[in-house]
Amino acid sequence: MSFNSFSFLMIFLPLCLIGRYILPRFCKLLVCKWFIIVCSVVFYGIFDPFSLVLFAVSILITYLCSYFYSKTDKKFFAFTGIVFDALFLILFKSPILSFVSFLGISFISFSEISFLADRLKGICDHPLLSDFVFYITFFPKILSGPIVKYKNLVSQIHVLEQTFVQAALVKKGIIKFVLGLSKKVLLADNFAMIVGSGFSHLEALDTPAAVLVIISYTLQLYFDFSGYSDMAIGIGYLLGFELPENFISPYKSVSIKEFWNRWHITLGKFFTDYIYIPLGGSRKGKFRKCVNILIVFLASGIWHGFGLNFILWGLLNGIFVILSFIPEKLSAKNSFLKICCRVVTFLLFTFSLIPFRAANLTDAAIFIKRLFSGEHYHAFALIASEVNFAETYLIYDVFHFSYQNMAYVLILFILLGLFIVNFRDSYEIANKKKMGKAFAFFLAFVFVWSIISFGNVTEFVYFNF
Amino acid sequence: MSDRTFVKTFIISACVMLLLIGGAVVVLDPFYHYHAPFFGLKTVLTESEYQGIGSVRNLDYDAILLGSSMAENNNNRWFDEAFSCTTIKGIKSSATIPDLMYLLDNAMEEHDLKYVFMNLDLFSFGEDPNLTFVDKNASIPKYLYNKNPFDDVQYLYNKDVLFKKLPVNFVKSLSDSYDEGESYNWWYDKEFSEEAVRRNSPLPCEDMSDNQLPVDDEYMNLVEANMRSITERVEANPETVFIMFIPPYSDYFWESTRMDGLEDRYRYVLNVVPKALSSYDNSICHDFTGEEEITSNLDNYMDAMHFKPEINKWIVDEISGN
Repeated sequence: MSFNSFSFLMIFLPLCLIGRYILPRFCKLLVCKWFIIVCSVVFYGIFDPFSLVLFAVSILITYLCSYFYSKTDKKFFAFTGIVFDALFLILFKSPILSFVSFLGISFISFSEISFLADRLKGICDHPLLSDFVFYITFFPKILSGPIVKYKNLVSQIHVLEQTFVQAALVKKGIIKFVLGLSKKVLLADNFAMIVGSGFSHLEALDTPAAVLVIISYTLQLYFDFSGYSDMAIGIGYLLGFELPENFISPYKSVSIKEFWNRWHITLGKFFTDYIYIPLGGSRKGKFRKCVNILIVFLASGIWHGFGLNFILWGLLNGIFVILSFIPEKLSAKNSFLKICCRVVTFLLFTFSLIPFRAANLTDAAIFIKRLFSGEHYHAFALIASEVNFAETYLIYDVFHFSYQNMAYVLILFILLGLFIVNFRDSYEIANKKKMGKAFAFFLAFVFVWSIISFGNVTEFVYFNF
Repeated sequence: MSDRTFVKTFIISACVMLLLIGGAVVVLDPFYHYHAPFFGLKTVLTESEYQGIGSVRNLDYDAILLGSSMAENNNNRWFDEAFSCTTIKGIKSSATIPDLMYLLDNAMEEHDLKYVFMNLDLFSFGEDPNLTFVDKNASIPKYLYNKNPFDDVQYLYNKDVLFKKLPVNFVKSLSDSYDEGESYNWWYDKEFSEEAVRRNSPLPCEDMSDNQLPVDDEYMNLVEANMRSITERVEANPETVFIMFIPPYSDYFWESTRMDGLEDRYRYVLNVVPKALSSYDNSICHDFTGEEEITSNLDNYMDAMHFKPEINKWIVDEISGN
C-alpha cells in the first residue's frame, strides 16, 4: 500500500487511527501493540504477500540470534545475525535475485543490523518478541525509512496506552503529512514527467534542455524522497510517535559535507555509526579519514545499485566531501561567498546525479556530452510537447499554446521548485508555534489538490533502493 | 489560534472542498457514470473508453449503434430519421464481437430497444469470443465499468476529470454549434485521399499471397462461436430488430489482406456470416464489401479501412431502404 493512494488515505489510515485511540480504553498495552503490528502487516502484505514471507524469515532469524546471544553471552550469535542480515540485503538487491521482489529490504535489513549492533554495544537488552516485531514492522517507516534505532522507537511504545489525542502532535502530523504528500504528488511526479521525457531523448538534448532536465531531476529526487519521509514522520505523529527527521533543507548547504548532514540523515547516521566509526573514523590520521569517507560513499553508491554509474556517483560525492573544507572556509568569510558556495554545492550534487539517473555509464556520457555541447535549438520544446500537466491543460487548449510557450511554463515550474527548496522546510513549518486559519485553509487546499492528483501518481523513487 | 482550532479548521475545510468537488462531478457527470445530463445540457461524447459505458447505461434511447471506429463518423440523427427512433452510439475502437455484446448487454439491462444497428468488422470473427476489452485491457478505467461504488473515488476525485473533461464538456454542452448526433466523430481533421491511404496503411513487408492462412476447424469454430453470441441475443429479444452490416473496405484493404495471408479467412466470414445472421425474422445482415464504385475509389478513404462520413450516410440510406 502506498501513502499516496485512496485506499490508504480513506480506509487504512482512518481505521488504524480509530483503533489506535479506542483500543487503549478497553485493552492492555500488549493488545494495542499487536494491533499496530497487524496494521503494519496489512500495509506491507497488501503490497506483496511473497515479500511478507521473506520478511517473517528475516525477523525470526534476527530475533533468534539476539535470543541466543542473550542466553550464551557469545558475540558469535549477534555477529551471525548481522552477517545474515547483510547477506540477505546483498542477495536480494543484487542482479542474481533481481527477479524476486522483496519490498523495503534495505530499510528492514538496516533496522535489524542496527538492532544487533546496538545489542553488541550493550545499548539495548534482548526484547520482548512483540517489541521487536513492532520495531521492525512499524508501517510508517517500513518501506523507505526514516531508519530508526530500536531504543528510540521502543522507548515510545508506552504512548499506545494514551487514549487522548494530543492536538499539538496531530497538528504537526497533519502539516508534515500534507506537505510531504504535496511534495510527492504535486511536485515530484510532475518533475518526473520532464525528467522521463528528457532521458528518453538524450541525443536530441541541447545545453539548456540538459541543464533544465538534470535540475528537474535534482528537484524530483528531493521532493519524492523527502515527501515520503515527511509523510512517514507525519503519520508517526498522528499515532503519537516521534520519528527522526530525514531531510533538513539540504539544498541550502554550503558544502557537500554539510549537504550529507541534511540529506537522508538517518542513512548517513547509519553509515557513520556502523561503517565509518568502526573503520576508525577520523581518529587515525587525515589519509585514513579520507579513505574511510570514500569507503562510506562507495558503500552508499553500491547500496543504491550495483551498476558502475552508482559507484561513480558514490565516489564523486566522497571526493566532494573530502574537498568540502574549501567552501567551508570561503563561506565563513562573507555572505556573498556563502551564497556562491550554496549555488556551487547545488550544482555539484546536481552534476553527480547524471550517472545516478542515467540507465548506464554510456547514457551518462551522452548526457554530459549534450550538456557541454553549447548548442541551443529549443530542444526543451520537444520535452514540453510530451509533458502534460492537467493544471495547464485549459491554458494550452483554450489559448492554443505552442510547445515553445509550454516550455516557458515548465521553466516557471522549475523556478518554483527552486524557490521552494530554498524556502522553509516542512520541519521548520511544522515546528512553528503560531499558525493562522489561512494556513490551515491553505493546507486543506493543498491536501485536496493532492488527492485529486492521485490518478496519475507514480511509485516512490526510493522504493527501488 | 490553538492547535485544536487549527486541526478543526483543516478537517472542516478539507471536507467541504472534497464535498464540493465530488458534488460537482456527480452533478455535471462528464462521463455519464451516474445519470443523463441535467438542466437540458447537451450530451457531449468524445472519448468512448471513458464515456461509452456510462452513456450506454444511463442515457435515454431506444436504438443503439454498436461498432468500432468504422461506425464513429455516423450521425445518430440519420438513424433517428430513417427508423423513427432515438439512437446513441456504443463504440469501442477495434471492437471484437464480445466487446459489442458487452455493450449490448449493458444497454439492454435498462432499455427496451427497438433497434440494434451493428457494424461488423471481418477481423472480429477470428477473435476470442469470450474475452471483452474490459477483461484484457489493463489500462481501461475499471472504476467506470464495474458497479463497485467505492472505487468511484477515482472518478470523483480526479484532476483530469476536474481540469480537463468537466470544463471542456460543460462548455461544449452549452454551445449551439455542437451536434449531439456527431458523438465520437473523428473525420474533421483527417485527409481522405489515395495518398493518405498509402501513407497511413503501408503494405506488409512480407508478401504471403501464395501462403494464405488456412480456414481450419479452429478458425471455423471461432467464427461459429462469435456468430452464436450474436444469434443468442437475436433469439432472446424477438421485439428488437437487429440490423447488421459489413462495411465497404477499400480494394487496397483487400490487397493488403491478401499479402497478410488473411484473404481466405475473411472470404469465409463473408460467405457464412451475412447468411446466418439474416436467417431470423428480427435480424438482417448487409454485406457492402462488393460495392466497387466506393471501394475502388481510394479518395473515399483515409487508410485501408476508414472512409468518409458520406459513405456512412450512404450505408444508412441503404439499410433503411431509402
